[in-house]
Amino acid sequence: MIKHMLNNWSIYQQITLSLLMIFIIALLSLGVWLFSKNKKFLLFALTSMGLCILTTFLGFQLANMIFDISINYLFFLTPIIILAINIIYIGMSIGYYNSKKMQKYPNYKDLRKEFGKDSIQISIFTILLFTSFLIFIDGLAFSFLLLTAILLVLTTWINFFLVRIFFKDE
Amino acid sequence: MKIRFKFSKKPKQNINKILKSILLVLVGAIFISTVLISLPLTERISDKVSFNLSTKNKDYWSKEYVVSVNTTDKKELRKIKQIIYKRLRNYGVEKVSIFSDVVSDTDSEFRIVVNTTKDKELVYKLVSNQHSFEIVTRKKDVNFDDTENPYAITMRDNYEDTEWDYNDFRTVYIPKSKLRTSDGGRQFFAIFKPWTNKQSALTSFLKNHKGELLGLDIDSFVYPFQVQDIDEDSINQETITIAVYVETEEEARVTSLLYNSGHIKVPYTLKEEINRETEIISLDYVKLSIGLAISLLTSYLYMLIFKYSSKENLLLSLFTTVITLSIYLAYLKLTHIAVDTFLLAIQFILMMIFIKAVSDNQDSDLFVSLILILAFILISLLGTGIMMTFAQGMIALIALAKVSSILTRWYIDNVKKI
Repeated sequence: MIKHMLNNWSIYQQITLSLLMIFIIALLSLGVWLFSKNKKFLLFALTSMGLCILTTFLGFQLANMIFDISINYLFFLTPIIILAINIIYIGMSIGYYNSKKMQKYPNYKDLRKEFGKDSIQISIFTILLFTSFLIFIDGLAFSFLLLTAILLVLTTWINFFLVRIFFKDE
Repeated sequence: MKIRFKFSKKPKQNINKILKSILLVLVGAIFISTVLISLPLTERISDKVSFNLSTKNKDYWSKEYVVSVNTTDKKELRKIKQIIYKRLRNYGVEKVSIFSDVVSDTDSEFRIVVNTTKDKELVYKLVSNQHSFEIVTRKKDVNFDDTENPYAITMRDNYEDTEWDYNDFRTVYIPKSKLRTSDGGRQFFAIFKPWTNKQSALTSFLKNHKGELLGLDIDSFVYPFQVQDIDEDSINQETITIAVYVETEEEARVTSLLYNSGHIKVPYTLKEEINRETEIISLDYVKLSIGLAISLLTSYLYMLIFKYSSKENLLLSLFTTVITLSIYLAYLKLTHIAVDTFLLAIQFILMMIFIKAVSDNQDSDLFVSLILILAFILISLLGTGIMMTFAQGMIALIALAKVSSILTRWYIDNVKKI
């Protein structure tokens, strides 16, 4: 896949997409820092983004190698959808943290519980809405949506486990 | 018999209440009309107003262009690929794939595959033109007024080279609208802006040729233009302004892309055009709408049964979702803007999740909305064709969701009070 990107993409395309990735990570980091002023959150957001990129890439590789799905231009949308959901997820946690941060000792147990609730909600919405879409399509569009839905649910739960690692009670 | 009007203690409050009730009824009626317009097949109810959803499915076409270039240099080939991609991407071509092969010791070939809804002629123009340009002066011994040779004016051989070509101009600016010409008509113009270090040299060049007819050679076809009269003492920084012979704004945009996407230095010729099967994801949007509506309701029912959210929150976010998507769909239907149903469905799914998330977590509303809008702006600026279309739709939907959220909150609060 990397070979294909290097050989067949124009330098302009490679540069713009690399810049896009860098700018989005910078934007998210800046946003997280400005809204939470918490290093743990910043680290969590960056790890989450990194793992999202890795999971998406591995998902594409596996789909291509095992199921022989050709990763075409349509799959450009998968990282965007995953990014949007990830921003929503991180945003929800920051919102919850901000509403509770006046407490002297932030209750990370509650935060984890809230994350669990959010993860379930996002998963239910994703599964139900994508399923209603999947029954009407076939071919490459079906593969694209199925893979995107699987990756979405997967990244949501990766985030959930990341929270357990990052926000342990002190 | 005397009729007496009885006023309550606070007549002003009563009038306000009546006015508010009328306003609520009106807003409610607008909501219902919007939902009805947005629903599939409701366009069949009325013969007078046409508001069917226009889809892009019929507009899609696909072609493979085979282009020959007179070089095998890898660096040069990469540069040409970049220029063609930049032209097509900035024009908004949804899918572009470019493959290059060295076919002989001196020549290479590009296979440019497009799958798009954009104008065929203009895509052809972007793919087939080398668009290498230079400024030329007239040869003194050529009779340009010869009636037997009307094409003398456009033939490259009748002109002398100058030191001015594409390397000397940082940009060629074509204003979006037509400008007034000296004869009172309107036309598009290209303004050639030189690099800062070449500005004074260009001004001297133009002063030396003031009032003369020069030519702009583009791929060996010369477009004549007249240098305006410049006062010798003028300290203005002069630029070259040439009429662009196109009619529409879109054609002018394409011409601007040809000038400003980079310059192909080596000979470049279109060899072949092959029609290809179009890659379209056609959806039955009626069935899809029903499916999405059922899934949305099921999700909300699940949240209600298992008490993931309060009833008020669920009502508010469901109402906001319905209003946002209805306004957007109604707008698309009434303005006949052609849409990609597949992209629209994905955008709607994302919006359903977004609205539910921010309604439940008001504290995260600002962060999520702001970062998402900024991220989508970045994607629409730097992304590929399909990413740009998707991101632009998402920006509009998020902005609309914010307005709808305020409206629905106001509506529900006031209805409750009544």
